[in-house]
Amino acid sequence: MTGRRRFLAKASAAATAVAATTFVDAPYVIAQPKIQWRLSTAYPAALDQLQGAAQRLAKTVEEMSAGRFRIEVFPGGQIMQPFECFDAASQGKIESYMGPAQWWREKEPAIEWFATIPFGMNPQGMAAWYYQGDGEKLMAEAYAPLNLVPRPGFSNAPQMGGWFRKKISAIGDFKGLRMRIPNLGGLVYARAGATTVLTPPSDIFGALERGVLDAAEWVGPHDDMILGLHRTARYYYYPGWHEPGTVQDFGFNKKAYDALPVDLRRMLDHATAAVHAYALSDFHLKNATALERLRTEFKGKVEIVQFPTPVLRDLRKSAAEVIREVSEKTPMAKKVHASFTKFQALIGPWDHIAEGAYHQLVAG
Amino acid sequence: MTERRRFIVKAGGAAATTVAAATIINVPSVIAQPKVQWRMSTTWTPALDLLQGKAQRLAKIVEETSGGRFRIEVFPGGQIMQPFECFDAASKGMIEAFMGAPYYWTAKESAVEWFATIPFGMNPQGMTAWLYQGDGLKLMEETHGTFNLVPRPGGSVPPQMAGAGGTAVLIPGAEIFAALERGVIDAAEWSTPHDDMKLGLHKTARYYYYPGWQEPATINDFGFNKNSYDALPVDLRQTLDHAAAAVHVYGVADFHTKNAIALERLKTEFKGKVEILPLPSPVLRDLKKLATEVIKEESEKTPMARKVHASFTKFQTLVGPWDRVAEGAYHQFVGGTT
Repeated sequence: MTGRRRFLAKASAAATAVAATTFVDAPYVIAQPKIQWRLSTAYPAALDQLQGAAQRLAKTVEEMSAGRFRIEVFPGGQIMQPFECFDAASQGKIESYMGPAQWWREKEPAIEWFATIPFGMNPQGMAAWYYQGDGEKLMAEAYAPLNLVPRPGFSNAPQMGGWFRKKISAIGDFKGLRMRIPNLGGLVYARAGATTVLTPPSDIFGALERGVLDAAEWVGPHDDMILGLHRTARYYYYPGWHEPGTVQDFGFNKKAYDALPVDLRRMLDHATAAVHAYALSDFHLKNATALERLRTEFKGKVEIVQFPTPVLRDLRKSAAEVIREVSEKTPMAKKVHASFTKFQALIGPWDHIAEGAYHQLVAG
Repeated sequence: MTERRRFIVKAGGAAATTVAAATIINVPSVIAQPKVQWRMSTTWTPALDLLQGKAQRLAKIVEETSGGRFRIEVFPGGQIMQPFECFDAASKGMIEAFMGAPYYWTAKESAVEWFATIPFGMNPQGMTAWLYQGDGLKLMEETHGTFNLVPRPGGSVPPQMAGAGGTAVLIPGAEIFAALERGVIDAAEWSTPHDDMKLGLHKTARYYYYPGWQEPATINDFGFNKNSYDALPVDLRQTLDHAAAAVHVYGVADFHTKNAIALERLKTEFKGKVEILPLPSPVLRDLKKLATEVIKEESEKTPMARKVHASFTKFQTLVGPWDRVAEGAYHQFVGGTT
């Protein structure tokens, strides 16, 4: 009996109604090119949650295409330096990259908004802006001159505020502080009198340990503990006002993407959305587990503290100024900022009623 | 020139050479591809565009990513069968797939409640984490499996709005409006502003309460007839699985946006006619007490319910503190002052 006949026999053994509707056609044959891509990320392999999301994309695409489309995933540092993956994909040396959009802001300031902005939207708001608002369209527009087709990957947020060697009780406590923090959040701290640096993840531990840094932010409990940050500074602050909805982006070389058969292009698109669900839930669980460890294993050594409300209020005032200034740098930034702000104003009241009230009244 | 040759020329000629070199490592492999056509019936009326839209989205994704090899025809409730018949129909193989909400099937097995939502349970982020990273989906497969179904979570409805009422009435969406207007029930809860307005609920009652303590995150379920699912080539099986996850993401984004718009309309167009109010804290406290008792009783009905309840509770205890630190604190500050 041929494979096909066995297949039919098996199906007709099942409920007859199913067998009747399942096969409307005899098998047809399509020539299927096999495609192999390379993806380099901006992360070391030890950061399993982030690196894992890129691997998940590869796995999803391979499974859906029955092996027709394979993406080989490399951590930063293996075939190129972490920060080089963006340019490499843009130039076609590799077909794709994954990293945090905010690291490419020097190419185009508008890119900041695709990652996150201080006091911006949370992951739910970001996903809504991307998929239902103008987010995805604007992102494609901003990346097109760089020869890239971008897709929002997933959120690794909300993040924590960061590790501080000293307690923060007023906005003045940031004065003279040396802190590792990138981007807009860094500009806000600078306005409050801090000196900010962009230390690569692998060097943060040493710098905090030696006192070269007074404070540092990375991501959240899970990733921060992998870097060992909980062994260097006592105070772990929340909320992560500077990165409330951080989105990681996947970027595909435009020519490589356009050369894909249309079904594989759609597969790639929808696979990034599926990865969003898998990776955000992975982030949620891993951080819950890590926080639990901080509270038990490291009890007495680490204090998990909330930023005082007046401090947050002052930070927000500075943030609004910083964001406005950056938004005026390019026409694209102005456009993205306007879309983001309008969307956040729309979503805010609903978010407050639906999720905010749940947190306050149901979970609390 | 054959299609294949043109493809190679295009890739090699136009694209950056490094890309072209890495892209094609093999001559095309030829696979026999059966065309598969499925039917899916949902529990929703077409008016409930967000919910029905998720079923249609699944069909679209599957069709796009399979190059048209796999098509799912989606029917709203009432077209080829009554809304609540779709579960049994898929279970028996009269159709290949259904979409609904797990708690519609509690009469079959109490455990399904937990896969939808429970009062004072987890929010969408927590539910997604339990389903995809915890034991949720595995337990769901075990539960639906006894009905010859392969289940997949089909997105979540955000924390819903609340409603009041002494007796819980389970009736299909379209009938809630009629019942409310006839005074059959004193109050009704359906879902969220967008859906509720589609049903016209805002024209019947003045007070619109939040938070939706009774459904902090309602998960929808896709269910596939097990024989049909198993008969699929493995790539189409995986395609269905990943497509459901993608629908989860698109669906949540859709709900989030449309509800924000609907709430805005309630606050402007229907100003003076509808009041949006939080339930008082003491009321919520009492409800929580009652909910705990009800959930405990439900969980004792079947061994499966007990098992699922235990897994859910353990997971909620784990993610709760992180949720409060990460999301709760941000909501409190940003939501409270803007």
